[in-house]
Amino acid sequence: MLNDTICALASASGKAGVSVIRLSGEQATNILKLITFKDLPANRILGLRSIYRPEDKSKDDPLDEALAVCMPGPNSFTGEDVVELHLHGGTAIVSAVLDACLSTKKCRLAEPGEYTRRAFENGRMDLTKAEAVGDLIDAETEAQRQQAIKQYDGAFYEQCQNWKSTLINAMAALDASIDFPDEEDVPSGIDSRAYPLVQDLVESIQQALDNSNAGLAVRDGFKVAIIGPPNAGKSTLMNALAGRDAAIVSDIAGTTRDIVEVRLELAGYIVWLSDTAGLRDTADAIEAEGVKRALARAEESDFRIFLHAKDQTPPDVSTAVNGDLLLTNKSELNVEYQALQSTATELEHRHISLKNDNDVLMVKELLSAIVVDRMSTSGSAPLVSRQRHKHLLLSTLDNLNHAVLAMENDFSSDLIAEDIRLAARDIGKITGEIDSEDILDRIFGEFCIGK
Amino acid sequence: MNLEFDVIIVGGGHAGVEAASASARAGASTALITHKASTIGEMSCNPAIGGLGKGHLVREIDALGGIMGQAADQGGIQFRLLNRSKGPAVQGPRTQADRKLYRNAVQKAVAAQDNLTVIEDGIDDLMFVDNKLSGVIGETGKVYRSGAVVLTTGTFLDGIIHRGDERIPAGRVGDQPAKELSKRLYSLDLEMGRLKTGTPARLKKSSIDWSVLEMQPADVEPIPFSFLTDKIEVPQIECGMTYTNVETHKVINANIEQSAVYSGAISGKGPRYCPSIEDKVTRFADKNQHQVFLEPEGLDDDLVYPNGISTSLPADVQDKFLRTMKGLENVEIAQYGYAIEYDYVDPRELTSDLQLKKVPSLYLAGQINGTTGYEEAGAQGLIAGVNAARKVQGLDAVTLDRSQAYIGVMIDDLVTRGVSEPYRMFTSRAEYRLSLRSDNADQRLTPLGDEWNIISEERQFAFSEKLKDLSKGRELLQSLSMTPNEAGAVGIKITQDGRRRTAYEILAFPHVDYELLTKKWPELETLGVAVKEQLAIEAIYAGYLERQQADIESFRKDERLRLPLDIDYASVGGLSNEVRSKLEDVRPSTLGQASRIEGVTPGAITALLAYVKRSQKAAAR
Ligand SMILES: Cc1cc2nc3c(=O)[nH]c(=O)nc-3n(C[C@H](O)[C@H](O)[C@H](O)COP(=O)(O)OP(=O)(O)OC[C@H]3O[C@@H](n4cnc5c(N)ncnc54)[C@H](O)[C@@H]3O)c2cc1C
Ligand SMILES: Nc1nc2c(ncn2[C@@H]2O[C@H](COP(=O)(O)OP(=O)(O)O)[C@@H](O)[C@H]2O)c(=O)[nH]1
Ligand SMILES: [Mg+2]
Repeated sequence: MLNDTICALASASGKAGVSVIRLSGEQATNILKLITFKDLPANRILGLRSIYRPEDKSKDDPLDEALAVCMPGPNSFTGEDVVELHLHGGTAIVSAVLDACLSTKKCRLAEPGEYTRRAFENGRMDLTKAEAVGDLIDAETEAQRQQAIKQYDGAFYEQCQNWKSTLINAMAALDASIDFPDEEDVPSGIDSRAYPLVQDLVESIQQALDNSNAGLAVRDGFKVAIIGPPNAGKSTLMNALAGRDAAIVSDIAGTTRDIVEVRLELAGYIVWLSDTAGLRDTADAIEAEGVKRALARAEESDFRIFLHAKDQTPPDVSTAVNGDLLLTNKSELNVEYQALQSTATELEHRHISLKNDNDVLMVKELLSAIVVDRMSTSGSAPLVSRQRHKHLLLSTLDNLNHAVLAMENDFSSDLIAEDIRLAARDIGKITGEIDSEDILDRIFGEFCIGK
Repeated sequence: MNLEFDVIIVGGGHAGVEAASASARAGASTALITHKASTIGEMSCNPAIGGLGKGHLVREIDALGGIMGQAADQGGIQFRLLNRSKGPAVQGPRTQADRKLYRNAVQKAVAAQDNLTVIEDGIDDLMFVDNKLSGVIGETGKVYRSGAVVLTTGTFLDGIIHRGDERIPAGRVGDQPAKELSKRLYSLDLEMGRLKTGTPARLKKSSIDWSVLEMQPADVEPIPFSFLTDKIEVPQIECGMTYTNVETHKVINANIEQSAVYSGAISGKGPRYCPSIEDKVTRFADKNQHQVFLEPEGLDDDLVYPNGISTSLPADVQDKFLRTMKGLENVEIAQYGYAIEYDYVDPRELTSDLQLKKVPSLYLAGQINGTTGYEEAGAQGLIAGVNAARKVQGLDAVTLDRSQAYIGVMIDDLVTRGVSEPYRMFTSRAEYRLSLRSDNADQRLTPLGDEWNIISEERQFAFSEKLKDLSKGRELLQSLSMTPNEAGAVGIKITQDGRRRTAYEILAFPHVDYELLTKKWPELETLGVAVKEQLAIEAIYAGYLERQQADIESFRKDERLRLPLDIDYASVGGLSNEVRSKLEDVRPSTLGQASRIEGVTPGAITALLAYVKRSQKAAAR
């Protein structure tokens, strides 16, 4: 009775043209018989079936006219017997049919991520693929969808396997020198073969990491923080870009105290825009906390807009990163403008007035261009799109750099081999070749029901 | 004579001796039953102990109070530390042994052991009363009773010697095979198979022209195997080196059809890492020569073991090809090489205490489990012996895991993956080899041995003295420190980062030794040689071991998750038939072990984990 049969809505919930209910497990086909009072359609071929409550033996009250398909395990999505019911959309029909399935008492509702989990357990997919299923379902933009499909198709998995096999080669060279030193057929100095292999790996992994910010930004959204002194017009800018009043605008300095976040779509990418508390020294404990959060948000964002008004002293841009944007607002004011001293970082600088719609449009276009620029990567499209992958690759790289250093300083091959072994373990964790329930719980917890 | 014992060990080879000694040390009355008492401790093949990975096993056997290390120290005539230029974690102590001295040392240790009786008999059968193993039966029908039995019959189970087209039933040359016992094992419905191995001819020392040969000396400072040996007293000798040549290969190629191995007469699989000369010549046809070590079998022995040319060619061909080699032009052969084929039991039939799952109280150790080598055999013997004793005493089984010892690695490999060729130890099999070093085998294992009650007072005392010295030395090294500048002044180059480093940290840098450090800190002279050496090794690995710790922790977590032996894999959802049958074959005892079975996917492990968690939850309810 372990791995009992599960059922759930597999398409997006809410009103839709077609809704799909998926059943997976030993009882899936039996349940189909019990709610149709008919034979099964041929495997993998859609069959038209009326659905009834199982107790409605006289078939008085059809719930829907559905297309049913049976996919026997192990060559199904989950590796178990799977039945899909393609229903006429509509919440009422879906819940009636789900009820009918459940009242056979031969299945239960699926838990979040359970279908994918079963597919993974049955060896139908590796971990990166399982993760991609979640991403694919959650994809809102075309860029997210393409990225998820690529991962689902195994692009990242193959890359990991390549890395892993190079690591195994390097390890083999070292171990051969260790375990077979006096053998005639093992050339002396075979351990030095590991060096170029590891160097290539470092380069290849570094490149994947260089592109990872773009990948992460596609998946999680590009993060932009607006930062500057109170009353500069930060909240005004945010509302203007969002096209709605998300933050309170007032001429009372210190109005915005916590971070206000809005989601925008610019040029097909998701952008998270954060409005923050104005930066100033303050005795107010709550406001001071707001300032602290503002600075932290600025640091963890992908991009920062430093905003000040023409009548204010230029903002502190010491936390800026090359390419960030400096906006001097309220340009229509007739006051002396205090120019910014030259800075260590290169900033884009514009004078605007948020009272002027054209300027708002200009800022929006500028930001779009920046997002597009940041998302496009040198060479191939990004493979890394998750923090989990990025962290593990960073650790791999650490271990490999450690190995390079050890090789360059004549450390003995057992030490070098250890670095490489640890690196191989990191890569193994990405594809799930290492078992740890912690990783899995987190991954599968992310998925929504029935997917 | 009383023929009733707690534990009976069958076979007086390397596994048998360690099993008998361990069982007796653990306090069980023990009988060692073997064909001939005079061959106890006999080396069937190469007269050498230790080597890469194997040296680690010897140190571990010694740390657990076993016999092999001390016997090798008393019989060793050419000590050499292999991999001297590589890290200490992968260095392997090895010695050639004087066959006679070694055997005598083993026999003396056996004779001196309390609780241990040696009996000469060939065992033909096991005895069961009410389906319970209760002893063994000898050739003449004599019955020996015991609560547990350890079989360590080596290559003797239905052994057949092959040489050319000769077929001689034998356990090894000159010894009868064990045929009846083999039949009994088959009848127990155990998964069994055939393996093969080979040995070269033995040459007469006096017929070799040593004057034209390159010689290889022993180490100037022989390093003993045993933690209890202070100094090697046996005189050290050189061995000779020669090579096969084009002519040799021609002779072998011309007669290859007559080789027992090549004519297809042998079905058993041989070790890939220990190929016969026929194998070498055919598989590496582009090589014009292969190295041969000429190792004297003893100080006053007229036999020489030519290492590297094991063969099953007919005697006349052996004569011919040997005489093509430099120094061997007029060689006389005392005994011809041969291949031997024998039964082994699939070690997946065992749990990690080396007990058969299907036959409680019956333990197997040594070559019978598909391994090869004295060290591998001895190490298994020790574990089987302790556990047989504990079983009779009503105590829990004791095992070693992969993070504790090479012994643990080997046994886990055997019981998890089985064997497809004779299994030999290598350092690369041990994922935690930086911590499983031969220098710290005592620190890893002697305290465990103490818990298991198999450590003598003498060893306990020596060990606790060593620990005291080490911690004193460690404190001293950690109390001294200097800056990179100060180091530069005494000729030690380290990264110029201005950081003060302790003497302990500085020791981790390549090219730093005590001589340099003593210039700065003369007080280091007070430390003993062994202490200094071990602390230097510790220092090298300290940083690495810290990094490894997390890895070991997660390994142990999976090891702690026990799987019931009677799990119904059919009821674990989501396992493919292939994976299910693999799990059913092995019946792993922990989740970690399950994950190491070949072909068991990560997904399957998750399913298994979910199953166990669910059953635990259900049980708690
Ligand atoms: C020809 C040959 C070549 C080898 N080559 C190599 C090599 O190249 N490298 C390597 O590492 N190892 C080699 N070995 C293996 C090495 O000798 C063994 O691995 C090791 O000796 C196994 O130890 P053991 O204790 O399991 O068995 P053994 O040392 O074989 O001892 C078995 C003992 O059990 C006794 N016995 C057997 N059956 C019975 C019975 N029914 N009743 C009573 N007593 C019994 C025998 O008399 C013997 O004393 C070779 C062995 C042989 C025979
Ligand atoms: N004159 C002028 N006022 C502006 C402009 N942009 C914003 N303001 C006003 O400046 C005040 C502070 O704006 P707000 O967005 O709350 O600033 P914040 O504290 O930086 O969030 C409000 O009264 C806005 O209406 C501008 O371009 N010109
Ligand atoms: Mg504001």
